[in-house]
Amino acid sequence: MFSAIYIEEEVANTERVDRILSRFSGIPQIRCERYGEIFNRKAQNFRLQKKSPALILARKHGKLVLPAPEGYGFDSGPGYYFSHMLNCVYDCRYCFLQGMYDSANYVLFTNYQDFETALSETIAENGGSGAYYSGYDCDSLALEPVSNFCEYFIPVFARHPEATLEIRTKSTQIRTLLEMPPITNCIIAMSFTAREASDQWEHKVPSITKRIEALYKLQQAGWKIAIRFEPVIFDQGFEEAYQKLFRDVFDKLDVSALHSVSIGLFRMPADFYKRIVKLYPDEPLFARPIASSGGMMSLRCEKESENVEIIEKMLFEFISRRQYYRCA
Amino acid sequence: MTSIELNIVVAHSIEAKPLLKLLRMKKCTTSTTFPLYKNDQGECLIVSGMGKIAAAAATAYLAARQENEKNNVRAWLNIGIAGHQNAELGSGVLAQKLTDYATGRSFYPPMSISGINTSDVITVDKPELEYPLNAAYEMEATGFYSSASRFVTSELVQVFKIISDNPRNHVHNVNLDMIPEWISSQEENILMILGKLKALVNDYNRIYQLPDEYHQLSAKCRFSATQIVQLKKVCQRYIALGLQKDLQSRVLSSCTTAKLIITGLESGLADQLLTGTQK
Repeated sequence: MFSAIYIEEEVANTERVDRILSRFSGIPQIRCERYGEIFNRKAQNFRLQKKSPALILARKHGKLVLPAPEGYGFDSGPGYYFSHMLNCVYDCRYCFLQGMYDSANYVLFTNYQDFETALSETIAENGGSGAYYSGYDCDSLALEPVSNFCEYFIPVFARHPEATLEIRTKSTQIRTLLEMPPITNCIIAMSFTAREASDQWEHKVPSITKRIEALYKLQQAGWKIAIRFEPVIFDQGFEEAYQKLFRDVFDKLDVSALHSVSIGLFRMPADFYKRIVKLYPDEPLFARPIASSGGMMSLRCEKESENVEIIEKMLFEFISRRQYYRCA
Repeated sequence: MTSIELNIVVAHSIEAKPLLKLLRMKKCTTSTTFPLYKNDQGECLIVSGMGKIAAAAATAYLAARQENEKNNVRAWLNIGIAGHQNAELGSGVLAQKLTDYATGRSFYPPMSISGINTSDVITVDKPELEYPLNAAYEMEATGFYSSASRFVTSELVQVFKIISDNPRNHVHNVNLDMIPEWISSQEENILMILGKLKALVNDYNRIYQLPDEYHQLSAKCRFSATQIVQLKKVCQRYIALGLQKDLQSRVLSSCTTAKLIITGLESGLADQLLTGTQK
């Protein structure tokens, strides 16, 4: 699963780290001073590293809970994100993380108590409410058997019932959730692209069918779920592809109980995009014409607005407008 | 014959000897500063001399010699003997962490090769007599690593040490005749490391190698540094989109200035995409 585990001196011999290490006694366990020595070093290639990534166990310093980017989430109120992990076990070609980090190694910050303190403080500053997103810099569920993220943080949010936790994921690692009593202020938001796009660009990601199945089980168990259709890429035949995807998703689930459904287009900061193009010069997706606006890159599409309207119109055949929002 | 892009750096000729035999290498320079060997596959071995500075210098020397050979990058492997607190004589370890004892600076070669025992490696300026830590002690690795990783991505740089001494068989009592034997006994591991490095470097070169059409176009006239970057990018886009034939036809066009070549390529690509899959 990992090529090696690096352990910051500061978190070595802590209970969480010892428990993780005991699961992986057969692979090199290497001490380091700071995770940045490995994660931020020069002369590394994200693409090669992705073939055999390592796990880095570290302590997160500084601001642990940050304002969510504008238009990121469902709530028009205060939104925040927190990242107990950097990088994702999946390998989605369109993912901005490839351009954000030099390293494909996974960093797991194990000082959960500090995150809890920071979350509690931020929640208190917001009068007990706010939306808190996990899964911005990683997939929060995908490494659950190692991280025990849900096991720790769901009870934290159970103590703050007015604050909402969104766990954004493509993972089907739902065992922990199914073993816990559901809480009403946690939303499991599953991301989808149309099947052709998924086959082409979502490497190592569970199939659409398996993700729908996982959502079904969660919904049956009483968890609130949400659907994120992103990034939508307008290839030829996108109407048919999304019509089928919407049917597959909404036929299986109790649509009226969905927390929210959103769509988002392919967008990326310009400097991330440039780095990704360098990393994947052979990737047809990045050889397409692009548009640049306000420091963000997107795939150029003459009929973007019309196409979004088509998608939205198709969506509203399944869901109510109240459930929908468009991700910036 | 496929060229294999790989360099090996060793400190001593006594370490080189079994490797030259294993890899069928022959001397290819008359230089006595850094004796250099090569085989039919293009693999190179350089003898650096003792110490981290010599290792860094030999690595840089070889990289500079090869700089204009091709666009391809090479993988780098340092092989040598080391002392260890508790490893058996003749055993081999792949470096997982390199520490320069004098500066305290550490390096972490990516663990892209599995199936071989790993160890911390500490580079010292003079032979370590006490073996205080559970690590391999030697004199070249950090010099080699810091130099090689200036030329290639660190996934392509590895260090393999063969244990020649430990607290029970002190460094002063190393039997030099045993060194080639110990190295030979690690042939299987060495070949495994070389095989994995070759796979990685071939993969890397396949991804990042520029198409022949780029070289042909860039030879047509004088390009500025900025135009070279533009030319590379547009050629890569043609290849990524499966438009190699269109790119080939551009090579045959009569454009004679860099600006016209790039403009022609870009407008040709835009035309192709318009009639292609973009809605």
